Amino acid sequence: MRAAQLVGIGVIVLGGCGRMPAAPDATREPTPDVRIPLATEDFRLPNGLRVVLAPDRAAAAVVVHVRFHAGSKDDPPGRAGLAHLVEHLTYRSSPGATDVDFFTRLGEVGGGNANGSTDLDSTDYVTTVRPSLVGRALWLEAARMAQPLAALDDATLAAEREVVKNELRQRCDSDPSRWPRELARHAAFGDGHPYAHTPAGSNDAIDAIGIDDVRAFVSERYRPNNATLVLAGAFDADVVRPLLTPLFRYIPAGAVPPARTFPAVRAARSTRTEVRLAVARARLVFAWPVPATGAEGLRELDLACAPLHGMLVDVLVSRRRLASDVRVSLEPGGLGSLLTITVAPEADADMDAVASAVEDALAAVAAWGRVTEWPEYPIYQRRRIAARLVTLADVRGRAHELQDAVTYHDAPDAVRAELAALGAIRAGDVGSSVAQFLEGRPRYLIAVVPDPRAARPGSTRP
Amino acid sequence: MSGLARRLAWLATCAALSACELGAGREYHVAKTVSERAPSRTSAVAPAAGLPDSLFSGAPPAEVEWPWTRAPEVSEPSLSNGARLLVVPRPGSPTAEIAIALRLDTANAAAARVFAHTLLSAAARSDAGFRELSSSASFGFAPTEEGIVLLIHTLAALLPYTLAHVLPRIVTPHLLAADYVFAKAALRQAPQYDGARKDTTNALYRAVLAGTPYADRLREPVAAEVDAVKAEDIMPLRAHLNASDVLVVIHGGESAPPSLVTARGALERLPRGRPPPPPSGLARPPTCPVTRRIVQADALQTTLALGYNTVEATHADVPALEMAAALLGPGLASRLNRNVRTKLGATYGVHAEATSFARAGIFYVSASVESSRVAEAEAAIDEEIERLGAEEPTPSELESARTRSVFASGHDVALGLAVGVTRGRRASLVAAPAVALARVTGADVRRVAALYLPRTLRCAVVATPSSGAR
Repeated sequence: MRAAQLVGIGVIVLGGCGRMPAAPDATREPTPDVRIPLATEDFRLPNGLRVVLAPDRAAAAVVVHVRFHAGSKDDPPGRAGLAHLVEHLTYRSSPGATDVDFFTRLGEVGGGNANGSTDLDSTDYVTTVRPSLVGRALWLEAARMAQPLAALDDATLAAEREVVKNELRQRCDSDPSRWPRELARHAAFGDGHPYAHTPAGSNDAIDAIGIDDVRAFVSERYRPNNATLVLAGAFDADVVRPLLTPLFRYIPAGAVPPARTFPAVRAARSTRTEVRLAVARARLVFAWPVPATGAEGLRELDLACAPLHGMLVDVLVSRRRLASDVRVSLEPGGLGSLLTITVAPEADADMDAVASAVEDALAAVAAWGRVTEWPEYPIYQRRRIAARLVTLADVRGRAHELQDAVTYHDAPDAVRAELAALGAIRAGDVGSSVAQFLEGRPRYLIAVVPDPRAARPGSTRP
Repeated sequence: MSGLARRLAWLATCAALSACELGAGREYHVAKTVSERAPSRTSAVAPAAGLPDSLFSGAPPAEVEWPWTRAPEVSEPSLSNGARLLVVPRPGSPTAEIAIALRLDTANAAAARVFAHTLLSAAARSDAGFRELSSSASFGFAPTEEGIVLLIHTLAALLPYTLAHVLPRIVTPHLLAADYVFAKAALRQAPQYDGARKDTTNALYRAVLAGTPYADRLREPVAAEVDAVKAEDIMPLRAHLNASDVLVVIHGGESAPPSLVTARGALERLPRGRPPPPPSGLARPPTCPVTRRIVQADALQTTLALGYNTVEATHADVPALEMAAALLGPGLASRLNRNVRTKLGATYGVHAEATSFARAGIFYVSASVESSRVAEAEAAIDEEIERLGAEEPTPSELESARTRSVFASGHDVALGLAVGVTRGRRASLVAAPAVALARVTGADVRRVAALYLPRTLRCAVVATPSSGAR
């Protein structure tokens, strides 16, 4: 084991973050002083597993969060959805048994909550247990890492394929604001880019996934030297360290394929694609590829989302009655991010008027802080910082933020640096980023047109 | 997770939180010894090369020692006009929640939502101070069968400011027509305004609770109903801003902060109202075995919802019913998920909940199922529910269900307290669900399952896509 590295003092104090104005009198909101325990140790086991410990004795539970740095970007061609299917399959076995699944075994050893998730860049396994069960949660996760597919056979693969396809219908294809964004993602990143598809994959690709595909993916990606273990919450580091080391240290490292790099994606010219689907309502999705997580400009665009949304709701929904719903979404990723504006237009709305309103809103936000005053900017900025703090206050959110800090900045302490950077952004910086990446820039427009004779949403997924 | 499932999961949390039986401030130890139970291991895994044989094939690691966990202390200062203020301190926690329950006593759920938004709008308009605060807090509301709960989630450091400057503006608002207009516009934008699956919930609740006041109050408003709300529909609701119909929960911060005085003052300025009727259950109909089929234009597969008439929130059987729901539905180790998801692969998840209101209750099971497999899934669900009424669950199943109840968020605790107390439960009994569930035995679960959940009393709603089976 590498010597434990001490990472900072382990707390965030918001009072020192950014340019918070001092409270002028008792009727004004005071500057908050928030102390949140962060990581105290960051080390690697001999097999390459990175371990981050963030103890917090005041918490009611402990979170064991394992992240494999393998996501849908690593799905092989023609196998979109493989990473997500693998995530499901690893829950079908448990320590020492092929016919007792992870959840049942978790119940047998005292209980708790567990869930997995797959995104573009990684696959996460999160188990929350009461403090006394931390060793058992580690035991379960070590077994998954050592033998993730112990229960894999044709029958379990077939059953889990059906569960995953059911999930896609329930969570993706039935969500009228979600599947149009998938179409926009494919248009924006284009064939051949690992971000052209989401972790959902497609029914056809999922049907095509065989046992050999699953085994090959796991053999390459589910290795301790391609994973990070974060513990956050109610535990004592001196007790946990000797528990986890013997459980994980024997799991062999592997030859993990090097991370692929791709040039930043930018739209060369604006396009409009009409998609006819058997849906009840039309949708318009405006999409721009924007900088990757950690790259210059993304934090500013993140800060622009809320005011942009507020302005579009005011114009499109409240005043002009052109739409019933507007969403502004920023989906970050290590290889590039996607900013989308999704509009549900009213049945008789003029689509050109909707598009003009979107352009006008972008122009207004781009001018804020540079050409025009933006007195409300501190409110938006503080709201965003507060949202991050609320996430960090919960041990599950804290573990996730620590994982992201390791994934995208190679340092758990980046959680603190990110908050400081967010607090240092000026109003003009936000407007500049909107001007640089959105206003008048080429974008992809997906227009979904209801047509009862056309296909259902899921059938169009690339 | 679908919108319906999200709502159901949220409701289940509320239900679980209203099941507690603990004296204020009592301590409990959550670290129980379970290591002596031998895990089932019928089909062993050969150890991978390089791994010690015993690493995963032996007994799990022993539990580690951990200090006693203290149950939340709930205090209730006495207010001169009888208004209720519950204070649950959380020293050291960086966040805090305020829940304001308004017993609106209206069957018009759409009007209740517009009214809630109108209150939030009026508070936001008041002065720059609130606008500043809104940069560090989130505001929302949750509809309940008795009215609305307004929720403020903020940083603990800002709690004194919130209590002093925001709470008074919500409970004693100065409403303008502009607030009402803004509220309707905001509701048009709100995600819950546009969701096809709410039809399933509404249809099942109407069937199960037919003949009770809850049959219509439970309905989630659809778009047309929100649009139909007039200002004159919501103005009478202002009368419910009185000491009898308002209840405030403060969850977070230090005990007895000075700003509590301001909060008390705001509540003591409320006029006295008509006391709510004493909690008493309505007579349960002897049977309600109906099956309703509805068509959902946008659906891609079938939603299957099964419901049973149960008992009011103060009934002694509520904890056992909630344990029955915990065993059947939430979590992938639960019985229905093991069978219908893991074994059959027919669904992404099955959800079960037991919800009890002030005067009636419902036990609810739902799943989104691939349409050609509805009969198969329905049979599996029925079989598992019947088994619960015939065989006692194992101690390890009971313990696992109890453990899951420990992880409620601060938001869940505040909301659960507001809802549970509004429904007549003692505040001290709502704050620590694990303790209430600890008293439930396997025999209790079998008895309530046999009494309330026989198939002959089951209502069903089957909501199919317009194109039929896929």
